[in-house]
Parts: sequence; structure tokens; C-alpha cells
Amino acid sequence: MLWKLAILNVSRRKGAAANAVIVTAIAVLAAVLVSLLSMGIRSGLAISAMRMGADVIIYPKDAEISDAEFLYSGIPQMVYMDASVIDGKLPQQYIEHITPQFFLKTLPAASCCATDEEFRIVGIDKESDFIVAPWHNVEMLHAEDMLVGAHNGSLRPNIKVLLLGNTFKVVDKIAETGSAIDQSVFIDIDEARKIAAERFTQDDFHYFEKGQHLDNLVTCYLIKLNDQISPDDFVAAVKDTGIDAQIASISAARSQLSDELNDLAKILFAFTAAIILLGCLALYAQYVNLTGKMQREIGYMRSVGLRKRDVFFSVFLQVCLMGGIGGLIGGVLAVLLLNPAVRFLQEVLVLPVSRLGFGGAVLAVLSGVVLALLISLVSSLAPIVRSVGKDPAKAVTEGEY
Amino acid sequence: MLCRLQNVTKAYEDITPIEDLDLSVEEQDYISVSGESGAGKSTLLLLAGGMLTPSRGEIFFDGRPYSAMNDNQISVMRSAHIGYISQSIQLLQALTVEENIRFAQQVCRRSGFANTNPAGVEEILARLGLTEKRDHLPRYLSGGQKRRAMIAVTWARNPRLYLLDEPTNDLDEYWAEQVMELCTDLHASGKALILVTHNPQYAQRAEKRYRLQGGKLVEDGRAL
Repeated sequence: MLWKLAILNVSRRKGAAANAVIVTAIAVLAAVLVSLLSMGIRSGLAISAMRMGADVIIYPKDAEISDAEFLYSGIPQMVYMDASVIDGKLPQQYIEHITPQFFLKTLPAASCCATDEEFRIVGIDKESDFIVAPWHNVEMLHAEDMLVGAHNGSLRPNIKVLLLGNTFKVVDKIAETGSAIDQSVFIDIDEARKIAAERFTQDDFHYFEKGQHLDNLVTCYLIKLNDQISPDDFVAAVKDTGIDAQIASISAARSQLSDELNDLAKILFAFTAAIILLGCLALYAQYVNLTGKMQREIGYMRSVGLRKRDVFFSVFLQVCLMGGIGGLIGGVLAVLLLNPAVRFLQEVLVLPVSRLGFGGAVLAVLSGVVLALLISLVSSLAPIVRSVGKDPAKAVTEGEY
Repeated sequence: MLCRLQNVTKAYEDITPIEDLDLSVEEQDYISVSGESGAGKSTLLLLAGGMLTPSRGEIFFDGRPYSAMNDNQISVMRSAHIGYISQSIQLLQALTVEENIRFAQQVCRRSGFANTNPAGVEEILARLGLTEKRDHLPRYLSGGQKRRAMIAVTWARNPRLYLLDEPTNDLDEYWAEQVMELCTDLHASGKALILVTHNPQYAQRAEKRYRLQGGKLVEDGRAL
């Protein structure tokens, strides 16, 4: 009986319910979206840290990108250095693994294979690779083989792909890393160099002018140190040799970026708290208005013999329904707007962001509904108690309906 | 005795509309109360219905004082035994006319007293000319139709005591007469009624006719 009344109060008096639903939806949208972004960044950071096997990176002198970009966004540039740049410069006894990579090109969305995002083509050395190797199940990468990152949606194992005039077979999909690996495809480094030689003109590949041989070029070296070696000490030692390249400690960069992202997360948290507080205040005003208008009806229910707790329950159910609808709308909108928001953020900040799966999306929407119910409870409690607590005689003379 | 007001005073900050008032309502009583505007007629009904607490004195229902009952007990008593029709329109706006009637009956049944009107919803709607409006929300009814709907809701609950505050407000002559005939029928069926009205003709139909003057009820010029 009271359930039905609450449902009909919302469904048949849409005008009265709309304001509360809209305010709730806006508060939940903002809070859930910001929370998802914050969690996505933290998760991306954790996954990247866990899966990025290198301690140190060596990359060309003329690369105009920050360490953080190399680490997490993987924003690629066609910058190269001669493979021999490290010769005689590295204390080999401290190195557990070292592998070169050759960045070929970023292909725009839908340029190949019906992928809906741009993706990067990276050449890896099948003999020495330790970066991608732990995350796929291919024992030996052949010349025509291709590994694809987790976010290259339509590139499934065993399909053939025509890439820059060459046919490759997708042999495996790499587990999600939350880093640039997810938007990359990996081929054998020699194949990558071969394609570069075939496809690149002197305009976009000015290294030809320097008389360097393509077979000797690399984009970076990634180094895994022995356990007891400090990356910072190793970097200092290599810099002292006067190496003709940039060298950076990934752990230091990771730590720095982690600190920056933690600060960002704190700001986002404060922003979320402020939104929820403002939402509560706006909803409180809404419910003061609504219960004031319903005063006569509340008095009527008391006069026909409904107990205070029954009337409270009925009005509170109505509030929960409005809150739940607002929360559902806000939660769904937050999930829908997450990807555009991530893309926008990644245009202005170097951010590893892990993706939201279907389960995560459902959880986010449910969280939005729970949050909406909580802020509805907090905002409506005092107005409802005040209205229901009035003498029926006083209540029936007040309100609009 | 169904209901008794004993030396009841109701004082507000600047006015005391009811002062040391006594009134006894027996089963099957039909009482009319008239008086000037602001004399306290509506306050009297609210006090009798347990919807207003007196400043002084005691009100009994079925021999039990309201002051000895908690809010839940008064609510149960109201839902089971008292039908109040206020001057202002009081209906649940989200429910149709028929749903309002059934809702009130359900509230009554919840109290544990399954004494709702045996006439049935169809007959109630027909008698008050609301059959065609049964699926309408209150906002789509005229003032007179809303008033009749309120009467239908109260009648459907089949209370022992009717507190009627100007029940013919908003009604045209025909429907006012129909409502007064219904009051007569209710009285004949054993119900007790307190009718507050400005209309002397309607007041005359009651068995006991009082005026509210100076906070007290007066019968034929004599204070009760």
C-alpha cells in the first residue's frame, strides 16, 4: 500500500519529482565520474608499475619527451639513435637484461584492421625482449608474427593483418597493462626496420641524411638491473661515461609521477567531497520545498489514521525512489562519459588509466545508486521528520496539496 | 458514550476559541454546530478527532482518555472509528478517486478493524455521482467533485463517528441536498455525526443543534 503510494507519487507527479531527480543525478554523475577517473589513474599506475619490467631507459638525445611520457603514455616519436651508442658505456655486471625497441609509427584510428583507436607499431627484439615477453604465450616471435595490445579491439589471435603493405598474423593478445602497451602492436624489430626502409621517405625519416644505416637504429634500450643495484646509482654512473643519449631511472620517474598523481587524486577527492556536499545542500532545499508542499497530504494521512512511522516510511520511500532514479541516471551517464573524459585528460596530462570493464561499469552504476540513496537519506531526514512530526490539525492547514 | 469532551479548553497565543467546553456524543447522535466564523467550530472537530491536543480538560473516546493513549493508539483509533472531513480539500493527489477510496479502506483494515463499508466501492461512487470520475486524479476534478470524493473516501471507511466540517462547501444545490440525505441515512444506520455548518436549514436536520459562542456550546440559548 505504502510502496504503491510512493511509486505513484513519483510516476504521476513527475514535475514535483523531476527537480530532486535532476539534482541527484548531477551530484552522482560528478562524484562517480571523478571517482572513476581517480581510481582508473591509481589502478593504471599500479598495473604499469607492476608490469613495466625495466629499471632504466636509454633514449635519443633529441627526443623531446619527458621520462614520464616514456614510462606511461608511451607517446611515441620517430626519434632514433645508433645502437652502438651504448658500446663500452654500460657496466655489464650490473645488468640482468637489456633489450632494444624500434618505434615504427602510430597509425590513426580506422586506418587498419577496423580498430577504433589509433595504435602504435613497435619493433621488439625477440631474443632479448623482457618487457612484453611475460605477458604473452608465444615462445618464438617469427618475422610475420604480431602481438597486439589489450585495447586493439578487433585484432584477435589467428587473424591476418595487412600493415603498411606487409601481412602479419596475430599470434597473441597481451594482457592489459594500463600503459601504452595496450594501444600498441609488436612485431619483430628487423621487420619494423625493413618496413621503415620501404615506406619512409627522407622527409619523415631524416636519419638517412646523417648517413646512419637503418639496421643499426633503435628508439630506446630498456634495462633490467640486478636486484641489489640502485637504478639511480646506475644512471649516475652511465652519465659519467658521457654517453651520447639520455638515460633515466624509470623507478625515479615512476615515483615522481606517482607523487604527482597522488596529489591529483587528493584534489579529485576534495572535488568529489565538495560536489557531494553541494548536492546534499541542494537536495536538502529540494526536500524542504517538497515536504512543505506535501504538508497537507501528510496531515491527511495522519488524519485517516496512518501512524507517524507509516507516513515517514511512505515519504521516505518516495525520496528513495527519486534518489534511486537520479543515482541510476547519474551513474550510467558517468560510465558513458568516462572514456571521453579520459581522452580529454590524456591530451593534457601524461596519465596511465586502466579501462573500465563491463563488471566495473555495473559496479560503478550500483555505487552511484547507493551514493544517491545515502545523500537522499542525509538530505531528506530532517525535512521529513519535521513534516511528519507536526500535529495533524496543523499539518492539514499547511502545504499546497 | 462514544465521545466526550470534558471541561476542554484550547488556547492559542492570542485567542481561546474553546473554553471549558463540555460535549457528550452518544452512538447514533446527530449533532449540528453552528456559529460565527472563527468561533472555534473546526477546532472543536479536531479536538474530538484527537488531531489536536487540548490546553486543558480531557477528551474520551469509548471511555478512554486521549491523554492516556500514545500517538500510535490514537492513530489506530482514528483509522478505525473516526471519519473527518475538513473544510479544505484533502485527497492523495497521486491516487485516482477509486484508489483514494481503496487506500483509506486499507488503512482502516490495517488497524485491525475490518469494518469498512459493506455498500462497496461501486455503490459509494454511484451514490456520489463519481462513477465516471473513478479513474481521475484529484487535479482533474472540479471543486464539487473533489468534495464528493472526500465524502466517498470517509464513507467507504464506515467510521462510527463522522466529523463533518462544512461538507456542503463547493457543492451545488443538488449535490448539497444529496450529501445531507446521505447524512440522514448514516444517522439512521446507527452512526454518530457532528456537523459543522453555516446553513441553518442543514443544521435543523440534526437531532441536537448547538451554537458555539464564547468558547462554549449553547443549546436553545442555554449553555450546556
